[in-house]
Amino acid sequence: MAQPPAASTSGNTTNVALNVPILCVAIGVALAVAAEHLTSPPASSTPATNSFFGQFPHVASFAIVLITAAYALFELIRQGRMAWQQPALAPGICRSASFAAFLLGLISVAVSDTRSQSLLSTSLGIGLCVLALIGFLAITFLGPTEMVNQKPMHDPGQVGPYPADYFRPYSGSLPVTYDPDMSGVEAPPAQRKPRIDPSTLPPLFETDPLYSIPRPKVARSFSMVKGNDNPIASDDACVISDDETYFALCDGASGSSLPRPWATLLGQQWLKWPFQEIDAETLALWLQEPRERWHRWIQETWKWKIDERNQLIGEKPLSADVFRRTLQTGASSTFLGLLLNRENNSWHAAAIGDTCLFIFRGDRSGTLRPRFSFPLDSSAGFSDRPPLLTSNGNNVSTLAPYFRFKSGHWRRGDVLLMATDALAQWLLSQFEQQQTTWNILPSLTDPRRFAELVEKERQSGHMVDDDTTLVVIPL
Amino acid sequence: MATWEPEDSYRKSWNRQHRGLLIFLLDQSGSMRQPVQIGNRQYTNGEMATLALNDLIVSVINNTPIDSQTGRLKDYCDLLVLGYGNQVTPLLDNRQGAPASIKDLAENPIGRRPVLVEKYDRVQGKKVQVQEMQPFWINYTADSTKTEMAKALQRAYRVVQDWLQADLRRRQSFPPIVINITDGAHNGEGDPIEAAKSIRRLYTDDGHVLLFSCHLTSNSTSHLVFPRDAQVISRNVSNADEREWAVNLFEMSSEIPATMAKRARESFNAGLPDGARGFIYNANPADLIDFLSWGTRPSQNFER
Repeated sequence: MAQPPAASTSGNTTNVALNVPILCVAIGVALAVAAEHLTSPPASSTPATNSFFGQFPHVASFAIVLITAAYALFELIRQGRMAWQQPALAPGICRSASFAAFLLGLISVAVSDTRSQSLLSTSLGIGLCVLALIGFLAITFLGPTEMVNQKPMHDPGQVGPYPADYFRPYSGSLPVTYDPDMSGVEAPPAQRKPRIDPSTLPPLFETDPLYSIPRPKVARSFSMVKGNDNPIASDDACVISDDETYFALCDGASGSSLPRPWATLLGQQWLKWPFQEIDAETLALWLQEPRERWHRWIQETWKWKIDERNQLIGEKPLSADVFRRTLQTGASSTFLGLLLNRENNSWHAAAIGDTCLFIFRGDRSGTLRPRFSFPLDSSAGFSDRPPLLTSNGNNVSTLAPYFRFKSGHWRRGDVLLMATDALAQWLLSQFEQQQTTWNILPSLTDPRRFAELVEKERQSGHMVDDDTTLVVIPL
Repeated sequence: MATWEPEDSYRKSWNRQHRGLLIFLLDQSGSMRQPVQIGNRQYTNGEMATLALNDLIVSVINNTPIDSQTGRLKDYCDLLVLGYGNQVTPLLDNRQGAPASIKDLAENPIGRRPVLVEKYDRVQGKKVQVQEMQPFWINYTADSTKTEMAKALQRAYRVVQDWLQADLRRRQSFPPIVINITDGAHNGEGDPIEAAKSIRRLYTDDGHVLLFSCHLTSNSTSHLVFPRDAQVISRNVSNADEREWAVNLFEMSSEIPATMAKRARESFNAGLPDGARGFIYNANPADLIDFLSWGTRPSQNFER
């Protein structure tokens, strides 16, 4: 088996997809042996039953054993090849194999136990069990694990002004042995021709709950992807409770790994656990479930779906580099949660990052006017690096102070808007420049008009070409 | 020559619709065989340049987000490496000198080799050096007698021009970036400064093409990053030949646009002086691309 390079495999690369075939084998063998076991006592006591029905269980169980054996062999070869191509998968496969051996050992013990003479097979079974268990534990606890985190992009130590004659030595990587003749070079694998054109297939994850788009009845939500891309490519996630009292709008950071599911998980967590205020300790608890679920989704659903699709279109499986990087860098997202209390007409909002809440109220003539925005109140306050909730890292204590909270009361006829950064920045600069293009937004119902507006403002350079989501909540 | 208000230019970020172009020019002339002492090992200048270039490609790849739909890198930018010595040769041999997509490049390095990189160890709470297999795309050669820098720049000019014409949407992209890695000694035909000027005159709707220079030398211990004027170079570069080359490269380099300087401030927590040029002297060229627009990322302040 390919020796995984140090620090390239992590302990959690086990894939459920790999365990399934081996478990199938174990179950198949168990069924076959069980059938054998059930039918043998009557066969020995009444040897006269030579009819078809008497023979059938034996034939069937023999066939099952043959089929499982063939399938097990096939899987063994297939997974061996996979492990060869992706060293990161090797420990996972070893674990699966040991586990399967353990199960087989148990089965053989169970079977041999019924016959008093076969001491040899019982001890063989027990021996197999013990060996397999030792192997399983060894791979799990002594196998290669990742000790180091990804290197920080920049040296966090350099703070302060950047003088014109700032000195910094070469800080890149240095080869352990420099090898100009390319010995030890792996040849790039040959490109295979796709069997199916991927563009003819439906986008992946369209039906995944973590990519779902809410369809509220009273409130309205609109979304435009950057560069007018497919909606599945959006990194914004909006989650709304069925009774439309809890709202969350999260803008996944496009520079992070798979931010959309992370953004959705944060929104879902707000529906389950809204908070008035939050300290570092509570935030750590609050983030625990979304973090676990994001990692699980990447390792189980995402990887599995990508591999399945790649197999279909004749591409290589997900590269170990990409998979490792995805888990290491993690996802990040802004967060804006809103909670409406319809009994006393009050609202409460919690936010981190640059996704904004706006409240509009009619003046005496009935025209809607912006009352305030939260958490940012000027178009100059937006940057490339807002504080973000991340799926990785022990940064909770530094993040908690960046949470902002606001509460208030509404009157009948007020309109609340939730907007991601590009739209929020545009709205604020509209207010600052006393312009009125924004005023179609609070009463907006037609997604086409939203698309037209965003398209026009992007073209003219007034709105940043980024994922843009708007939620309109009339009260 | 088109003009822009500083605030209106260099604002686009790369995405599938508005892809970017990066061209690296690598000096492969014989003068790059000068030895350099790094730690207790000796390398040649050209080896350092090749390492730096491979690092740059790794850095671009690490900055390109992963596409959730394909599990590959997002198709954000094209990349081309031109080596120059006696002649100008494309060094990524995949498409006969046409720029290659970063997602294809990432999957097809010519090999991997063990390198020492600095990483942050969570357990120890400090940076440690670890050995890691790093992919590489470019091999080291330095056997030419000539250094045709002007020709390389002219070739880059044609590539940029063709690339911009190949797809109308590219007119709206962030302008292409050319990064020249050299020891500065030009002895070929033509005038590199003029060639550099004509590249910098090319533009998209978002601004002029950016030309950055990375000057690597062997007999100097000083390092210089993003200087504002040539005097800083004169003060810090002692060798007369090198000083002249450094000043030339400085003249060839674009000013760092205000939007990028702002981003550098946000990402490094450090400001660049107004009018700083994209010129670095004996420093890691990965610094040059870290403050490109890579989309929203968590700030360093919130990491770890």
